[in-house]
Amino acid sequence: MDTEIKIISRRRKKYVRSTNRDINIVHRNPNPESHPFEQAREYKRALNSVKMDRIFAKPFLTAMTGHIDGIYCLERHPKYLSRVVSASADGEIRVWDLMRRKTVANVQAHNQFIRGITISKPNGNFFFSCSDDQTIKQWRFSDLRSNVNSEYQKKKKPVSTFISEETLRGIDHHWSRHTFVTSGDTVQVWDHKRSKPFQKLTFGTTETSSAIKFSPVQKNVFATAGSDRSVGLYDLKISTPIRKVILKNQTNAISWNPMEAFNFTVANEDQNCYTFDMRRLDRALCIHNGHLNAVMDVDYSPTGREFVTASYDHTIRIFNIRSISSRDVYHTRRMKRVFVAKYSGDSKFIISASDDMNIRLWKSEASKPLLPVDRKEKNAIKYRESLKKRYGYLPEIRRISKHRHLPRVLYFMKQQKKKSLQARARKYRNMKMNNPSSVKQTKMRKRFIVKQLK
Amino acid sequence: MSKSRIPKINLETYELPSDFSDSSIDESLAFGSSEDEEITKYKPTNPKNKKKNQLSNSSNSESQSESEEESESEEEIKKKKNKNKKKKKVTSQKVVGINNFTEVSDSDSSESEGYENPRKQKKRHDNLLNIVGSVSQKGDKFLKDGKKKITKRGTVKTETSNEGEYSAPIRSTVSLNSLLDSIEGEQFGELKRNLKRDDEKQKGSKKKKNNNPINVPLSEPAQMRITRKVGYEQTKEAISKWQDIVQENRQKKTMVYPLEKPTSALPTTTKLVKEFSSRTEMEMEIDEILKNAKVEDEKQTTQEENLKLKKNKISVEEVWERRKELAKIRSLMFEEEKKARRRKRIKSKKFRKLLRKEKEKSALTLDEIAMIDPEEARSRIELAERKRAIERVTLRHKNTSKWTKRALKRGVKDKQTRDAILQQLKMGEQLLKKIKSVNSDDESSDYSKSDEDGDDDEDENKKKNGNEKDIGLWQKKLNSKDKKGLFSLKFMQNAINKNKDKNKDDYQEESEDGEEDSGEEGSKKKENEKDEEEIIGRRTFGFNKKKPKAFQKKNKKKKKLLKSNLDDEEKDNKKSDPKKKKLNNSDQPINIEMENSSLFEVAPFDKEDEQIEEWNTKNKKNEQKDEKDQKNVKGKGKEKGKKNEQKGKGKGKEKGKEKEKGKGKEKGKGKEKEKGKGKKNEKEENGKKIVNGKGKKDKKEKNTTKKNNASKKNNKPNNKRKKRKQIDDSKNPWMRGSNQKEIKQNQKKKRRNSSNNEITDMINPKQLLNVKKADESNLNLKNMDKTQKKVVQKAFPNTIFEEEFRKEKDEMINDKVEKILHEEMKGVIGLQGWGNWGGKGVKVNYKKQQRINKIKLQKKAKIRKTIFKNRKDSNLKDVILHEGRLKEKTKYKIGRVPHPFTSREQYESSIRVPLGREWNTETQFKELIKPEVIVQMGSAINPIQYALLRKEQLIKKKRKQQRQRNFLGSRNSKSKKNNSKKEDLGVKVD
Repeated sequence: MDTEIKIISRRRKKYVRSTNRDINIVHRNPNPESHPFEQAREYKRALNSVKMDRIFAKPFLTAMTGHIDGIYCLERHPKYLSRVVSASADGEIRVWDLMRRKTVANVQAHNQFIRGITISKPNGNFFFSCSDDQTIKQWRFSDLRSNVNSEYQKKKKPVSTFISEETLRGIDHHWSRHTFVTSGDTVQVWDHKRSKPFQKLTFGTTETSSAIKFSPVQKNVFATAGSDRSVGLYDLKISTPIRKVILKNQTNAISWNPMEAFNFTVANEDQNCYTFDMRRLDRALCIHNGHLNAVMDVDYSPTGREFVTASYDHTIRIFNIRSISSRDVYHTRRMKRVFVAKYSGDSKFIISASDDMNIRLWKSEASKPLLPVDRKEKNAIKYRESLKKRYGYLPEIRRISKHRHLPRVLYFMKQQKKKSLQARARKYRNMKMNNPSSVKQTKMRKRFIVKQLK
Repeated sequence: MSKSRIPKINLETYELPSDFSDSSIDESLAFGSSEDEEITKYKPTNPKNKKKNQLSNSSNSESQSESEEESESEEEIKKKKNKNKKKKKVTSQKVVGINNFTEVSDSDSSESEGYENPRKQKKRHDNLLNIVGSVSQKGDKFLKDGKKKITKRGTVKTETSNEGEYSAPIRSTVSLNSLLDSIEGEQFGELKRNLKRDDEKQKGSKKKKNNNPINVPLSEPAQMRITRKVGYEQTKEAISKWQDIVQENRQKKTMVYPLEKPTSALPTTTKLVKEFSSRTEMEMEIDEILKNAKVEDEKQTTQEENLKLKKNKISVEEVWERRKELAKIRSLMFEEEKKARRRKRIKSKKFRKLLRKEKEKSALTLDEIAMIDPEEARSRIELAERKRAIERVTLRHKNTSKWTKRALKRGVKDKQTRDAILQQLKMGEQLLKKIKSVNSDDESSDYSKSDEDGDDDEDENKKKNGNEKDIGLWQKKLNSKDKKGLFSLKFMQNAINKNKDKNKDDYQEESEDGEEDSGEEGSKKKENEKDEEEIIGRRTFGFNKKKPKAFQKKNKKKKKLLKSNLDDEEKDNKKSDPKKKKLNNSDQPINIEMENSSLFEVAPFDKEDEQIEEWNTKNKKNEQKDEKDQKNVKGKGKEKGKKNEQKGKGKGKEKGKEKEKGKGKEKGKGKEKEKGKGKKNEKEENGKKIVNGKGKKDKKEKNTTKKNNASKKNNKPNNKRKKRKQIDDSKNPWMRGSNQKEIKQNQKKKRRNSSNNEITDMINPKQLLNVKKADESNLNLKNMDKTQKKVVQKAFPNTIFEEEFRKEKDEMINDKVEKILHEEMKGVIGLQGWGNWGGKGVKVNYKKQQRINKIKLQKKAKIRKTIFKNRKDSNLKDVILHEGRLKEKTKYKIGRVPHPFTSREQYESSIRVPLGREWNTETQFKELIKPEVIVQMGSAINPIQYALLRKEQLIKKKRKQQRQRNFLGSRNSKSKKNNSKKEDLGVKVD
C-alpha cells in the first residue's frame, strides 16, 4: 500500500494579509459544537494561568547601593519616571537614576539625621530636605548633577537654607504653589522666597507631628500624623487645622489617594493600615491588615487603585484599596526593616528603602513581563487576567493565587498573631455571652478610633 | 435669629443716625464678594460673632458684659466704628456660608441667593440704592416708619436722652420697607416680599433678644474649636465636589492612565501645502524650472476643461454623473474580479464539488435539450449509452482493478481504502444510473424514489442476464412510439418492457424450481398467490400510514398500471407471480428492514459507527461477488469466519426451513454458495436495501415509531414477508440473536399453518406483542458473544443500560432501606446475645422468629414507602438524584455570593458568556478581555485635576449640544412636511 506522508506546510499567503485593508484570516471554527464545555475549559485555563502567575512571579529587580547609613527618606520625581531622591540617617542625599540603576548625584546635605525630603511641584526643579539640625535646605537638581569632581563640590550648595525655630520631623511640598509645610512641634508653612514660615498651625495642644502630606487633588488640604496618636487635617485656604482623629496607636505615615480626593490611608503602628474618608472620620473605610510589625510607610499608586506599604517586619505589601488583605508580599533575605516604599510615576515599579542601606526596585506586578510583548502575547495575557478575575472566587484558584511564601520567622509570627486574634475574639464572644453589659459593641471599623477632636 | 443679633450690637454701641436698616447692609456686603473678602471670609478673626451665630442660646451673662461696653467713651466708639463695620461684613458672610452647607432647605432665603449669585445681586442692590436716593426726599412716610422701627428696638439706649429714643425721628434709621412702599411697580414686587420676610424674621428674633445682653468674647480654645468646625465643614463641602467623579471612575469598566490626553495634533497635508514656500536653494531652483516649463497648475487645467466642456455643450453635471457612473462600474468590476480571483484560489474539494453540482443543476436537462436541439439530445444519449455499455462490458468500477483486488486480498482495514473502494463502486453505479437518468428524464418525474430502487434491482437482474439485451431494449424504447394513450408514453413502455423481461426470467427460474418441488409445494403456491394479492393490498395499507398523500397517489397509480400489466401477463405466466411481486414492489424489502429496526427503540445511528459501515460494506461486497459469480475471493476469508460465528444457532433452523421450502439447490454448495442462485435475488436485495436504508437513514429514524405502530396494526404479516425477514435477520448479525425466538415461533406456526387454511396464517396481535417482549428480553447480554454485545451496546445503548440503570437505582434504595431497617430492628430485637439463651442445644424460638420477621417485613415496607415519598427522583425512573453533598464537586463551588454581586443569579449570569476566542468574534473577544486599568507605557500619571475634567466636560457638552442641534435641524426639516398631520394628533413640534 502507498504510504501517505503529511508535511506541515506553511504558506505565508495563507495567514498574512496582502494589504492592511484585507480581511483578517481567522483560524478558528465558529461552529459552537466543536467547542463544547466552555466553562470547564475556561476554568481550567484560569487555573493554569494562576499557576503560571505563581511560577513567573519574580518581582525583585535590583538593589542599589551607595548609602552608608540606613535610608529613611525617599521621594520620586513628579515628572521624570526614573528619578528618585533618597536621604540617609548620616545626612547624605543621593539622586538616583532607576534606568541605569545608579547614583546620578550625591551631596552631604546635613550633618544630622535627615527627617524629610520633598521635591518641588509641579516642575520638580528643586528638592527640600529637613533635618534634626533644624534647617531646611533647598537644592537644585541641575546643581547637583555636575560630576562628583572636587571642582564642582563648591557648586553643591543649597539654593537656600531655611532655619526653623522648632524641631523638624517631616516636610512636604504643595502640589502647585511655591509653598511647603514642615511638621514638628507645630506645623509651619513656608514659602520659597521667605526665610521665615509665614504661618504656624497648631491644634493648641502640645504634640509633635511627624509625617505630613499634602493632598494631590484638593491641593490646599494636608494631613499630619502626631505623636499623640493623632491624625490631623489642615486646610491652607482657611489656614486652620480642621479636624483631628485620635487612634489607639501612633500613625507613621499618610498617603492621599491621587484619584479619589477625599480618601487617604494611614500606616499605623498596630500593624494595620486604615483608609479614611476625609468627610467621615468616625470610622475607617477599610482596615488593611497583614503586616506583622509596625507599618512604616504607605504610598498610593498613581492610578489610585493600589497602595504599597513598608513595614518593620522586613516586608513590603501591596494592597488593593478596597481589600482587607494584601495582594502581594515582597521580601528578600537581605532586606531589613523597610522604612520607605514608593510607587514609581507610572505605577509599574515599587521602590523601597530600608535600614540595610539599600534601595530596592521591584515590579509592582510580580509576574508581568517587563520587555515589550508581542500583540498576540499581550492579548493572551489580557485573556488570562480576565479569566483569573472571573474565576478568582472559586476555592482552588483563590488558594493558589493567594499563596505566598513567607520567611520562617514571619510565618510563625503570623500563626501566632492569628492565634492571639482568635483568642481575643473568643474572649469577646464569651464576655458578650456571659455578661452582655460589660461589652461595648462597636464595629471593627470604629474600634481603633479613640475620639475625634473637633 | 442669629442674624438679627448682629445689627443689635451696632445699634447698641453706636448710633447710626442715617444708616439703612441692618439687613440691607448685610445683604449688600454679602453680595459684594470680591476676592479679598473671600480670604477674610475664612480668616478666623471674629470667633466671637461666629459663636453668636452658631450658639444663639448662649447665656445671659455674656450679654450683660456686653452691655457694659455702652459706657465707653464716644471717641473710642468712633474708632471702633470702622472696625465693627468690617466685622459686620465678615460675620454676615460667615453666617451665609454656614447656612449654605448646613441647611439646604434654607436656600430660598435672600441671603443664600445672594451668596450664590453675588454679582447679580449687587447690581440689583445698586439699582435699589439709586431708587432709594431718588425717593428719599419724600419725607413723611419715613418719619412714621422710622418711629415704628425704633419702637421695635425698645432696649436700645442712648446717652443723650432717656426718652429720646422714641422722640428722635431724625436720627432714626430709614427702613427699606418704608422706602419701597413709595415705589410702585411690579418689577420690585419680589424684592419687597423678600424684605418683608426678613423684617418679620427680625421682629421674631428681637423679642427674645431683647432680654439677652451681649455675649462675652469666647476663650481662645473655644474660638479655635469653632473655626475648626466651620473650616472642616467647608472643606468637606469643597471636597465633596469630587464625589460624582470618583463614583463615575470607579464604575468605569476600564480606566486609561494618564488621564490627560496628548493635545498636540499633527498638521494636515493641506495645511503644509498651503504654508509651503520654497526656502532652500534647491527648492527655488525646482520652482524656477517648473515655472519655465510652464507646468499648468490645477486651476488653469480646470478652467480649460470647463471651456472645452462648454464647447461640447455638455453640462458639468452631466460629466459628473458620467464620471460617477463610470466609477461605479469600475468598482463593481473590480469587486467582481476580486471575487473571481478569490474563488479561483479556493482549493477545497467540497467547494468544487458544490460548484459542479450547481452547474449540473443549472445545466439543461435532456428534455430541454431535446426541445431545442433534438440532434444534440440524441447524440448525448448515444454517448451516455456508449459509456454505459463500456462500463457494463469492462466492469471497470466493480472491483476489477488491480489495486482493489489487492486491497481486498489484504482485507480492508483502514477507512480510507474502504472509502475509496466504496467510491469506486458508487461511480460504477452512477455510470449505470446515468442512462437510467436519461431514461427517467423521458419519464414523468412522479416516479418515486422507491421505484428507482426497484429499477436498480432490475438492472442487476439484467446484468446477470446479459448486457446486450439492455442496449437492445434501449433502442426499442427510443424508437417505440406506436402505442397510444398512457402506454404511448415512454416511461410506461419502459415499465412494460421491464416487466416483461423479468417475467420471462422469473418464469424460467420458477419452472426449473417447480420441477424439483414436491406436491406440497402446490398448496404453498396457492398460498403465495393469495399472499401476493394480499400483499398489494396490505402493503399499500402499511405504506399509507407512512407516506404522504401525494406519494400514496403515485403508488396507486403505479399499482393500477402494474395490475393492468399483470392482467395482461397473468394468463401467460401465473406461476411467476411471487417473484414478480417482489421485483415490482421494490420498496418492500426496505419495509422489512425498517420493521426489524423498529422492533427496538432504536437509538439514532451514529455516522461514525464503523461497525455498521463495515457490515454494510460486507454486504455490498457479497452482492458484488454474487453478481460477478466470483468465488472464494481471498479477502473474504475473514468475513466468512465472522459470519459463521454470528450466524450461530439460528442457522440450522434456517437451513431446515429452506429445505422445507424445497429450494435445496444450496445443499451441495459451500456456505457462501448456499445463498446462490435460488436466493440470489433476495440476498441482493437484502444487501442493497440495507445500503439504501443507510442512505435514507434519517427517514428511517423518523419512521421507526410509526412503523412500530404499523407493525402492531399489521395483524396479518404474510408468510413471505416473515420469511424474508428471517433471512434478512440471519444475515444481519444484530438481528440474529434477537429474532431467534420469533423465527422459531414463525417456523412452528408455518409448519402448522401449511397444512391448515390461510386464515390461521395470520398472527394473533397478542402473540405479536409477546414476540416483541421476547425480543427485548432476548437482548440480554448473556445470550450474546462479546463482540456482539459490543455491537448491540453501541447500537442500542438505551435498552440495555436502562435495565442496568434501574437495577442500580433499586439496589441503592434497597441499601438505604436495609440500613434504616437495621437501625430500627435494633430496638425490636435488642442487643444480640442478650435476653437469649446461648450455646449448644438451645432451641430456636420459631414463634419469636416469625414475629420478628413479620415486624421486619412491615417495617421494611414502611421504610420503603417513606423513602419513596421523600426522594425527589421517585417519580423519575431514569434519574438518580444525589441528595447529599458530593465532595468532588466542592472544588467548583463558592460558599457564598462573592462581594460585588448581590445575588446568585447575577453572579452566574456574569460567568455565563465565555471569554475565549473560540466562542466570540475577534472584536467581542477584545472587548471582553479589556483590563480594568490601562497604563500607557512610560508616562507619569498625574493626580486627577478638576480643571481638566471641567474642560473635558465642557467639550463633551458642546458636542452633545451640537449633535442635538443637528438632529433637531434634520428633524425639523422633516417635520415640516408632516406638520399638518402632527398638529392633528396634538403633537407639538419643536
